[in-house]
Amino acid sequence: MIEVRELSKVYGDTKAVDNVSFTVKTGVVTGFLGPNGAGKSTTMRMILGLDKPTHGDVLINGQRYVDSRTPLSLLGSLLEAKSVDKGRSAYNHLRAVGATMGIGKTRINEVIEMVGLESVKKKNAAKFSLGMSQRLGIATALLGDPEILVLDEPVNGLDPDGIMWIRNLLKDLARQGRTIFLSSHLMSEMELTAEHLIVIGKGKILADMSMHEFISRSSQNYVQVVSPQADSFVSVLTSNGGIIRTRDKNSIEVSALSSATVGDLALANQIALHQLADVAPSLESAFMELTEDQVSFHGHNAEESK
Amino acid sequence: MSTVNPVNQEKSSSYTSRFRDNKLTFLRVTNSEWIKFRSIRSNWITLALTFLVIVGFGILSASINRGGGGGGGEVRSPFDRVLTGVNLSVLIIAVFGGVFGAREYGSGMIKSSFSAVPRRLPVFFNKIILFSKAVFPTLLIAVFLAFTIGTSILKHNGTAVPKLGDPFILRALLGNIFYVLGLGLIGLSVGILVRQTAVAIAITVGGVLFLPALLGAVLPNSWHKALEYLPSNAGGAFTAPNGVSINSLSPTTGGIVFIAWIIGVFALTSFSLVKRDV
Repeated sequence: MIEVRELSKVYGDTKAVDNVSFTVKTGVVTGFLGPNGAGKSTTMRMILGLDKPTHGDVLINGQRYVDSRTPLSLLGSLLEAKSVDKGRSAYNHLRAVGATMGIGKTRINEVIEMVGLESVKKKNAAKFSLGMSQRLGIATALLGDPEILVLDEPVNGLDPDGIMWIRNLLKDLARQGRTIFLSSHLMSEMELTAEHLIVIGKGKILADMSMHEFISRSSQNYVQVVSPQADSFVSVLTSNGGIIRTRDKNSIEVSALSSATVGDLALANQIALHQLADVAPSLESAFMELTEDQVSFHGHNAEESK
Repeated sequence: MSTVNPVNQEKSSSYTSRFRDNKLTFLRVTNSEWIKFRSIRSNWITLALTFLVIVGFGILSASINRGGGGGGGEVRSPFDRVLTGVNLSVLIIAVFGGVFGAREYGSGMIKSSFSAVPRRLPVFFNKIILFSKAVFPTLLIAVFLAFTIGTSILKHNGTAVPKLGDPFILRALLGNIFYVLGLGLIGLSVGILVRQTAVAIAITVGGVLFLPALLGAVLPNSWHKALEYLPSNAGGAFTAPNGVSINSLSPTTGGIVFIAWIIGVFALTSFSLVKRDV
């Protein structure tokens, strides 16, 4: 379990992280979302003690990471795939990191096999592709058989096979009772992997809830209706508080009414329905809706936010 | 300190690492730093180069008879001639120190290192120990080989040469080794302090080796007393094979001042390392 308590990080005049508190629970994959510059990486670095908080602290299973006598088995991390000396082989990199806790060759070879780098383990990291570097970073994170994993953009540079592999790996690891905290800018990937979400924007927590709740709270939910009497049904729906999002001939998208209400209204008004379905928005549209005014680096056509 | 959170009770279902009993220790960090050191080929090349420069220039300088003074310049003592290579090794080792200290910042490896050793200082102290363990024996063997071979060549050519047993000779030889190693350690510490190889080299080589000479030329004589306390001038007090050096610092005072510089830079780096963001 990771407990972030009233955490702030100030750089000059900029509050990168502003009095943030949240808990990452054991046994689930928790996703950490936010626009660029929202404070994700800064928060993750403070969890690891790499950056010093201006205020507040972080407890990892009840203790500060810096006080841990068993750092690698308490918490494995991947911050950037480039945290490797290019002059050294993958094998020697893992040996050097593992040696700090007396983790030997058996485990090194085990994690190398887990991430699929057997054939290149003696090669210099300089010759690694981004995907291979990412796998080495994941191997480093897994080295100490950690109880907690903190991963910043773990699927960066991975091919579709690799992405599916890490998705299943993370779910398996969470099921074993580990705490998994990961950030990703790939919404569709996050939607498939994470059960719980913490959303950060401009250094503040915007949402801390289950994936399901986050998506269902979005106003982007709508009911898809297909009816041959679409014209009359539209007036029925609007007079009962429905909002017509779009209409294309017989096909209607209506929000602000549940699918049950829509079905009941159809029956009561003798309107034939060919299709009736709840449509949940993607995580992406739910996220966009929440963070609309929270983006630090706007495209130039966006409105300048104060 | 922290209140016991009732939520912690759910720990019964949480995972226990199979390496939970493997503790992080200073000696394990020593081993880790040794694996890091030996797996970088350029470290070995630098040590070999240092060795070759000291021994090679010692032999070369002793073999070439400049007695007639063809090239001009002052006549150098036999001691200085056989240790010619040390002057170049100072540069090599100072640069090596800077590169060695800043290297992990350039590659990003430092994040892996400090994630594994979150208290950070064991990494720094082990780098100091490891650098000394690698550089000291190299310098020791090279300097004594250069002296032994160099003086026997000079003697064979009829020059009166110093012997190891002569007053101050052994001290000056060890002084040279200590001086070169010390500058390397200052370079290493500055490398970690400034986190950039180029800046570390500029400070160590420019600031420590060349600045005192420049200041000496520029500043009025009343300042020269203060300049004697700069690392390179303090080093000059114990690297020369004579009892009374041209510096007004005695060899002992020079040695103490030089050590004080090293400890000062170590302290500054340690303080910064613990306080700052990686």
